[in-house]
Amino acid sequence: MRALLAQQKWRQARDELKALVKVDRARYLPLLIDANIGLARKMLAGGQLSDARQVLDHLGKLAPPARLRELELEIAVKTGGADGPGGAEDALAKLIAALADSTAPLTEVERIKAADAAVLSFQPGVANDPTPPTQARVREELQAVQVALAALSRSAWTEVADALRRVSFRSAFGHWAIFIKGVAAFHAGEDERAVKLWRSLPPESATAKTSRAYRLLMVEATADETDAAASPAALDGACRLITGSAADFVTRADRLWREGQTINSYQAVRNKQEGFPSVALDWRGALTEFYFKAAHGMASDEWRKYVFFFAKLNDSNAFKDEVETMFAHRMTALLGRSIAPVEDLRRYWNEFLRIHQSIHGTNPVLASLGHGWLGEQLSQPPEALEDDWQAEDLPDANHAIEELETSIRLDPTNLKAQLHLCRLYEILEKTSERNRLLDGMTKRFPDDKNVLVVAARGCLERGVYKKALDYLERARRLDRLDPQIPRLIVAALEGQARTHFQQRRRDDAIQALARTGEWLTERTDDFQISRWSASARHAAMEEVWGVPSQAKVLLDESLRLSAWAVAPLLIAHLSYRECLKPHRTESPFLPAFERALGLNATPQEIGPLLRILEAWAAVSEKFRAGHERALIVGALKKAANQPFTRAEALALIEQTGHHAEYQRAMALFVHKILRGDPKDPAFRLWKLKLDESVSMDIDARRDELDAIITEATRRGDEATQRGARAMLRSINTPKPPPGFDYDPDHDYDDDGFGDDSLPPALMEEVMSAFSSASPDEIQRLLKNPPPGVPKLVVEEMIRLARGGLPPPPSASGAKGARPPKSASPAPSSSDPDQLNLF
Amino acid sequence: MNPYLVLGVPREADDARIRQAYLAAVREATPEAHPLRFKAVVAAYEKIKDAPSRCRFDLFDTECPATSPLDSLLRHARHSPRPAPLSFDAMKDLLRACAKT
Repeated sequence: MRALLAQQKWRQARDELKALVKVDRARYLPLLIDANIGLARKMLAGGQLSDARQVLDHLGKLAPPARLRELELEIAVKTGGADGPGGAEDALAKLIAALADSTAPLTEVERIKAADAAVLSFQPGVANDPTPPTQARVREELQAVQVALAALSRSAWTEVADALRRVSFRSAFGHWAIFIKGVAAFHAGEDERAVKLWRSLPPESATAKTSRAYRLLMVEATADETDAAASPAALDGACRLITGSAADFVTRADRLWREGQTINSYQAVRNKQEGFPSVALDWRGALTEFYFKAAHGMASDEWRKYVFFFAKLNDSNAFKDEVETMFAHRMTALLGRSIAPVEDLRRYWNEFLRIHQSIHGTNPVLASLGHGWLGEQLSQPPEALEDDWQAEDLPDANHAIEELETSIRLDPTNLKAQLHLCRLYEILEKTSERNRLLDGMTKRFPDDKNVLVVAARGCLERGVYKKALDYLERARRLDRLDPQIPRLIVAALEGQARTHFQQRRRDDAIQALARTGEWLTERTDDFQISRWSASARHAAMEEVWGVPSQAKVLLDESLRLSAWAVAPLLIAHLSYRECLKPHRTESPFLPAFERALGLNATPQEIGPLLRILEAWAAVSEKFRAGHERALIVGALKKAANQPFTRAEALALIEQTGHHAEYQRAMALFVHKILRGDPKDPAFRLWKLKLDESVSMDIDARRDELDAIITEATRRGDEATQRGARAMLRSINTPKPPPGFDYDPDHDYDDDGFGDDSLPPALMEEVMSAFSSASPDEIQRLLKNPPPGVPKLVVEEMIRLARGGLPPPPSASGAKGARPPKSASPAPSSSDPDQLNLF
Repeated sequence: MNPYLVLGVPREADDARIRQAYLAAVREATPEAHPLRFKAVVAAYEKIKDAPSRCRFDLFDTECPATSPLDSLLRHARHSPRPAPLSFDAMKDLLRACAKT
């Protein structure tokens, strides 16, 4: 029996004890009472209130009142409080009686529970009940709390204060008075006072729990109350305070969002709440901002799904209103700009701008920024191409120009758009448009250094040196420390000197060259405005147009000032070549250069030569530097047999590694370094780069790159780590295939193909594939020709390749006609690559 | 957080009004006494202090510190004027719901 009680099998114990009590009442009655009390508590815990009350009523005949009081109180709290009315009057009466009973006082916890349950029953007319006078005080205080709560909801603060005066400090309802005062302080914005009051509330009381909902709405006073620790009820309560009746679906939307159901979350609010999405500065606006900005922080696959939902709404014309359209288009354009087709990007963004202005009013500054941004996006070269892109790789250069021009028209002070358009004109070689724009910019932004420098560069290109010098002088007054300005001034003065020489005004030319002296530097490692490099250039000019003996003097000066024996000669030679139009390939300085190079073929001498030559060649594509490169390659091979340090080899290879002409020579340096240190990560990476043309298993290449990264990390070589990672990325994301190398001098009409035809090598491959394809494959291709290729073209090509089209397969799917014999063996029909040529 | 809300200015407010609101807000919410509010006010001002900034905010701002819809509402409420007291029935529901936890 005691075992049953210990196992809390109350019902079974009770049934057995009923029989046992009849045998020995004194011994078994206490156990029967225990069993009944346990059963009643179990029923209460399970929400079976009426059953529990029945048990309690039955117990009233068996047990002394003292043993039943706690249970009575529990039932009263349950029925009179959180569960609402349902025997509530009776329960309330019990609660009040318990609170007023001074002969058997409640514990503090019981007192608070009873007081809370009494208040939460919200029974009207509490104080009117003509019950024992001992309970009158309790009833009055209870009613005072109810009146205060009602006045609180009407913002009747004076009434609140008056009502609370009737609740004494030591009253069982004292914590309710504190709670209500705290709420009043909250609404008055007195956060510190509110928090101070609420901190004194009994922690497990209904008031303390409710105060947490209010505290969630405070900025600073939540140091010990984080959102994460808040109970669902407090969060729900806070939501109710903010949104009112919308709390039901907002909390549901919140739950969905946290579960990752972002679209369903949005829809939960969208479909239920009028005026959502919204541009207002209220809670609807706050939710709108959240739903249309949160996607920017999502992982790629998540935001794509999210954005796709709005794209579907757009496609089916199912947006709720213009506000939703506006926000959706903005989000889609900003997020999807790297993946969306350019026409879609333009459409979304322009539509967003239109709606924004229709809602918020016309704003030329905003529209200008918007169109400028779009222009930049449409002229952004693909990331995958890194630096290796051409003008035709830009997403949509023509519309980019259109958007930037619109941007400038809307706001002529939009400098960023103008600088971008200027650069775009340069890339597209629209020189006259660029110059026109630059002229306008110098008038609109006379005090902007960047504009003046860009304008000066434009003038230099056009040979308008005087104007260039004027712009540069103005730019220098704005920024005396910008290092590019002196370089451009020297270039302009030398350009002026050349012009004077060509027009046989030697004195003016000498004067212009003398003026460069102010801007030259004593630093020997500057190949542009060092004294020695300037002297070499001036020597070339004298040789071409001036006095050859003076040329010799200047060259000797250059050799004397320079730290190198060969570099001045190279500069003089290249300058000479450039002075004459069309450019010559030889010069009087060439023999001396070759001799000096032969005598000084060391990495220390060759390094500067590479920098000078490649910088020169980069300025103009038409400047052929093949002979000089060949000389340097020879010198490099010789230098590889000389002693050199790792740093020297690295410096050389970093200058030359990207040029095919030097790769063989540089491979000698790489191999020599790796012989000494096979694990050197930087040179192993260069070995991979230089051997790129050699077929290497992709997986082996990946493994080698991983090993390089590990070794580079161990050695603290961050540059090599970055380079290896970039290479690994490019293996995993291949570059787009190279474009067709259009040769402007080739007569394609003579080939017998139109402008849209395939290059001959590819055509041969296609014809070969057609001639060896099976009839089923041919039929499939005829049924689904490649996109952009008319079926007629496909048919004609097949006829040409096979001498006719194969018949379609018979209805039974049995024997089809054999393809005609071709010279090449038929490939396996399972070979997928044969027809995947489009 | 919407910077207009943080500074308590309407969308059509001009530079002067926004600056006034910013100065009043930082005087009230000093960094020593109210560090979170001060940080929010300064960040808000940077976003809308002049016309180009306001335009850039409208066009390009993608900042979303909130982690969920409810979180965004709480952040909004903390910088908004206090809501009106709940109705009596709503207050009863709130008290009963919180008491159950």
